[in-house]
Amino acid sequence: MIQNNNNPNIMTDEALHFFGKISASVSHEINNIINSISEMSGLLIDLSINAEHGRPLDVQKTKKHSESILKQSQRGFAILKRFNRFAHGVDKPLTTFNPIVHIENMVELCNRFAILKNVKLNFEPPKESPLVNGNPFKLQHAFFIYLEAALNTIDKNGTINIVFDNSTDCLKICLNIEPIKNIEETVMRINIHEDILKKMNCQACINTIEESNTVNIKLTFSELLLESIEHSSSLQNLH
Amino acid sequence: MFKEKVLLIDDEENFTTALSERMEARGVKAVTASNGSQALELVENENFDAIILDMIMPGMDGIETLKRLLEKNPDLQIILLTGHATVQKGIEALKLGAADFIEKPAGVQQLIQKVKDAKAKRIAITNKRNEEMLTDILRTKGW
Repeated sequence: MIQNNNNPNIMTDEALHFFGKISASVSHEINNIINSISEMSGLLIDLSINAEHGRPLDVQKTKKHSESILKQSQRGFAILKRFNRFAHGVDKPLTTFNPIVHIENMVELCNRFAILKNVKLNFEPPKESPLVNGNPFKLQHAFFIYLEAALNTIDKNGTINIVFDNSTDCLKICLNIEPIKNIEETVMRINIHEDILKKMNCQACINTIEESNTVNIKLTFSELLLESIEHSSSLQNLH
Repeated sequence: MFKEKVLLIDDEENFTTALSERMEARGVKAVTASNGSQALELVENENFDAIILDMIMPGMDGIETLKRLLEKNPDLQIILLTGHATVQKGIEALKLGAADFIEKPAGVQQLIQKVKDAKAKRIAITNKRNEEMLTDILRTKGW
């Protein structure tokens, strides 16, 4: 977890704010799912009561709504699984983990924010997947700060590509954002968090291409957050 | 024969499909829209006793849709449906002209009651306007 200078066991306001945003989004999505399941179950009960009173049961309709309930349940399980993985990120301040798994999880959790803004998130996992020692929650928080700044300044129907740079031993994540409404605002929104990001040992290189209204952000996580990097050939989910 | 007519606006199409069917089985005609733009087109051509509108939707959100619907017709009775009903959000919605505010999950009977209340309010507004118009005619024409 992000540690307070006076008490290492207390999360900072920024970290709590981040945790709250993700939790609120997930709970809202789960509420929508339960709401749909509740209405579809109610409809199945209505159809059953009608059948009890002699009205023929529409088998196709019953099947269709039962399948929709199943799909909504599966959607709910997938969200809860992602949220559970995210929540376990605060279990240990230092652990060995696969950062790609955590970034992918974060992208999935943030997809609702993107959908609400009609923005597409493209996640491209690297061929090789590193294992690192560090704090998965810090990594997710830093990534979220950039993704949120991008989502707040991207134009409607835009795309954010999330790719990894494997050319060095450091963990480097690139966000390619296009089209941007206001490049200066994007940079300003990111710079606001400079101090927090420094504490998380995350450095950003922002490259703007004005002709195409594109912003490229390259995030580099230094060894204090991610103590060492060891490449492994396959993805490993440690949680 | 349907007694009331409602427009359901929500991007969760499983929810609106099931809810509309349940409402119609209970005597309320329900038309569905999955986004704000679709809803704006529907109110151009059809009259509704009430509109049930989800607060959070992709693209045009509930508050923006509410504003634009009321610009088209200030008498529309719009009931905002939200997953996180806070006092602040409720006040904001009512200030913007929403007729009511309801938290998810809302049961079909609760929603139908809200639609009936909205219809009664709409009729009262229409009657009052007609009465004022009649008084004005009688006063100015001096018959």
